Amino acid sequence: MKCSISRRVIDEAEDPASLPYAAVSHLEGCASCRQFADERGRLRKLLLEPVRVSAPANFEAMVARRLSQRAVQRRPFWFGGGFYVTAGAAATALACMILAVQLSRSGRLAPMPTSTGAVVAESQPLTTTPKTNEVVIGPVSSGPGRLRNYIPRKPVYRPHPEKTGDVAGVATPVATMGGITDIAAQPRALLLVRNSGSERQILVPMVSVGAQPWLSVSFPAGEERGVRTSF
Amino acid sequence: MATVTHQAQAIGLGSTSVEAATDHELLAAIRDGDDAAFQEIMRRYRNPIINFVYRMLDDYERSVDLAQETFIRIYTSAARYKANYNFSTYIYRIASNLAISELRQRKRRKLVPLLSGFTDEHGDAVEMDLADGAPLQDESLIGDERRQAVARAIGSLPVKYRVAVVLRDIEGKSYDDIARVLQLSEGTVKSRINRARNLLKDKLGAYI
Repeated sequence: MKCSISRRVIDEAEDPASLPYAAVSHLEGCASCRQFADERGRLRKLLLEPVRVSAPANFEAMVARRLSQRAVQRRPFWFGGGFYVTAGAAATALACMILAVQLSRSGRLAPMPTSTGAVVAESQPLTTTPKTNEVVIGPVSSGPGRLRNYIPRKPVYRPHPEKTGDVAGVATPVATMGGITDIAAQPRALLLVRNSGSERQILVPMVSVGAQPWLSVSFPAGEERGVRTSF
Repeated sequence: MATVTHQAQAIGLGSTSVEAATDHELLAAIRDGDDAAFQEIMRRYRNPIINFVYRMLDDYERSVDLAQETFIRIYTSAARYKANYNFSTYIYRIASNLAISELRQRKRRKLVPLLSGFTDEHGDAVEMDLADGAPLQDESLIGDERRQAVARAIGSLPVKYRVAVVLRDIEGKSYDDIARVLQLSEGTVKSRINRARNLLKDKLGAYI
């Protein structure tokens, strides 16, 4: 083993008392490396000589006091820079929402393509003998004005060829919303619109979940009701 | 004691008292707001941390101050603590960063230039950090010229060498731990310790 390697091994040893065999055998035959090892050992002892200091008796109390002082001195939230960033972001979001609502009301906002436009609903009156089996879908006079842009005007729907008669038994009730009396649907988007005097079944092949496209259903008695078709 | 054990059970340490809990368990308890766990952490590490900072600064009052700041940071950042390695490494890293910052601030406050413009055989700048002639805080206990000389020699080392050699030769940390504390490679740590010892050997030649 070379002297440089031996000295590096001595210097970097985790435990100077247990050197590798190669280094120990080198030390036995090398006076300068032995002197180096002795110097390193004496230096280590010398560095450990200074007495170790202890923490003052009130150390924990001082830490606790500083912690409490720090809590008291903590600046209010609105003094921090983060507050202004948050407030600015919130104000921007609010302004965007107001602008979007205003654009929507004035009709300048293009309607989002939803399944409403592609809805081909076929209705089948569930009452025994309806006077007419047409369901007129168009603007709802009592509904929210902003929804008018989404609704095709007065398409005429024919009765479903397979679903004739009373199919109320296969429909699954869903929660009603707004002033709608009752809504029922099955997985194939079969809507059951029930009025006080009569019922209508509407088959909706395409359903936009969450978009709540608005349908207007006319009943034989001439009454017209709004229906949200989302599930 | 019974109160402490009761609190330990309340914070999820089970039947383990805070004295028997590991450092990581205590940190988790501190995160849940347990003061007994924080007291235990302070009891375990207050003296090692004060000694470490004291060897770095050679100023007892400031060492106590920085050790307190270390524990305050442990307490306030307990929620962000990740048990990836020893808690000892974590707390020594905080303390060493505070001590290094303090030494840098002291250097800025001095009016004399600190860098001599010379470099050692390895190309590193050699700092002319004059030894502090002020008496040590524990001079009455030391009362020994040799110990003062050791303290002055350590204090005259460049900061990057000083922190490494104090952690190794005084605190007895392993090279791996020192590398984690200082966030350096193990080879760099060994190199710095070697250079620090060579400098100390030159300064303390009369005592070796």
